[in-house]
Amino acid sequence: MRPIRLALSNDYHVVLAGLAAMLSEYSDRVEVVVLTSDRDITEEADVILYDTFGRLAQGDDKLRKIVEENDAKVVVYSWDNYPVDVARNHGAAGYIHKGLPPGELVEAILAIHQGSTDESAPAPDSDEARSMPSWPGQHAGLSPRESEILGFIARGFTNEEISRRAYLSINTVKTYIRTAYRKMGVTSRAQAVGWALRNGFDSET
Amino acid sequence: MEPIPETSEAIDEFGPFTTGSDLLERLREMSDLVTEIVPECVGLSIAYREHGVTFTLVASDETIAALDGFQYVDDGPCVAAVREDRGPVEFSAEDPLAEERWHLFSRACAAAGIASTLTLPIMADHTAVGSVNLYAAAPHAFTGKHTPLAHVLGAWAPGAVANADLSFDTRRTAQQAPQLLYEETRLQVALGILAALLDVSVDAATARLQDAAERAGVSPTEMVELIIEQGTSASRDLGDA
Repeated sequence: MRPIRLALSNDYHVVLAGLAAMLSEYSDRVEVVVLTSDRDITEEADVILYDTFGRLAQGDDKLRKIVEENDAKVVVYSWDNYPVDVARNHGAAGYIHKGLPPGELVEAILAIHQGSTDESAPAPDSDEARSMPSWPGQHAGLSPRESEILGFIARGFTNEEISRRAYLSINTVKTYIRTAYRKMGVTSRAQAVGWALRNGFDSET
Repeated sequence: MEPIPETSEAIDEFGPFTTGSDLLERLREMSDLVTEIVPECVGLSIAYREHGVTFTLVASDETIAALDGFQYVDDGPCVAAVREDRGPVEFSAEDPLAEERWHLFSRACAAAGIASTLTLPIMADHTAVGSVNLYAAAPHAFTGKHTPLAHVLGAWAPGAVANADLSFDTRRTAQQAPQLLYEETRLQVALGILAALLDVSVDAATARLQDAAERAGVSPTEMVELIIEQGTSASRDLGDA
């Protein structure tokens, strides 16, 4: 049986490249045919793995449009600030949690492709992104969560907007910012935006 | 003492401002330590040079509700009467606004009761990085207490200045904090977009933005919003709504 054709979608190239590298170990089962930040998937794919890193769940029109404009099954690959019901409302065929190790991620992709529901992918014990190999700011020691929050700041969102649209408490948002500031060596939002711009965060996305 | 609404908003929306403990908690702790030394202290403002904003806490009793009134009426007739020592102002009982105006007057009079203030510089590596202003309803409330106050506030006692802000101007400055922080953040976002679009450094983008604003005859703030709007459109064209 040929491997299923997989398109990877995210706003950050570093995230896509890391994910593709991780999945290359399973090329006999999943073949990554395209990495893209666009909503138009030019290569023919069986499944589009939509990595929500850097996306705010509320009002995520990009996911809705990818679902509408492509025939492939769209699988949301995320963590708990992007709720399953939000993904389903946008038309996703399945949802895989980032806490799964790589082998289980592949199993879950195959199961959803074969028509299983996302209940076949058990929720992990931890919300840590164990299967997320790379992200912006990783070189400075930022965790995936801290990196994601910094990306929102670099796009001009206030803490309250991040809290509301990412389904996190405002204290949680501030905690991530505080630990990220410590690692970046900055103390203000303006400095944080500047740091992000110099370290691979794209404020256009 | 409790933070004024704009201080809470600024810290919640654009914080945390520190990499250690929560700034709001720290400010409350500082105000508690101050009132242990000076029970008459009813207001505290801290200005941080690095952030370019001021945060203010005020006592939440009626006396300080009066301070709020003082800030809002500013140079109105009631305050003018107080300043010029013209005595009570009378209002007609038939005037439907009489009660409201009486309250306004009483608040202004009470606000004029800020009888002493103390300003202390905050130093780091022999440089002033900010300042603390304290406000009390009693005269001479801070006399002889500069050193213990400076100690609990991490300030420099020899640099103390008395009664420099009897009108509590720092409160008004603190009210501008959310807007100032919003504009600064938007500026940085716009510079990032510009730097990426033009493939130049952030410094070069800063110069280009200023030049473009001057040529277009618009304020830098308007230019910032235009850039962000266009940057978002460009992003949307790439498929990212």
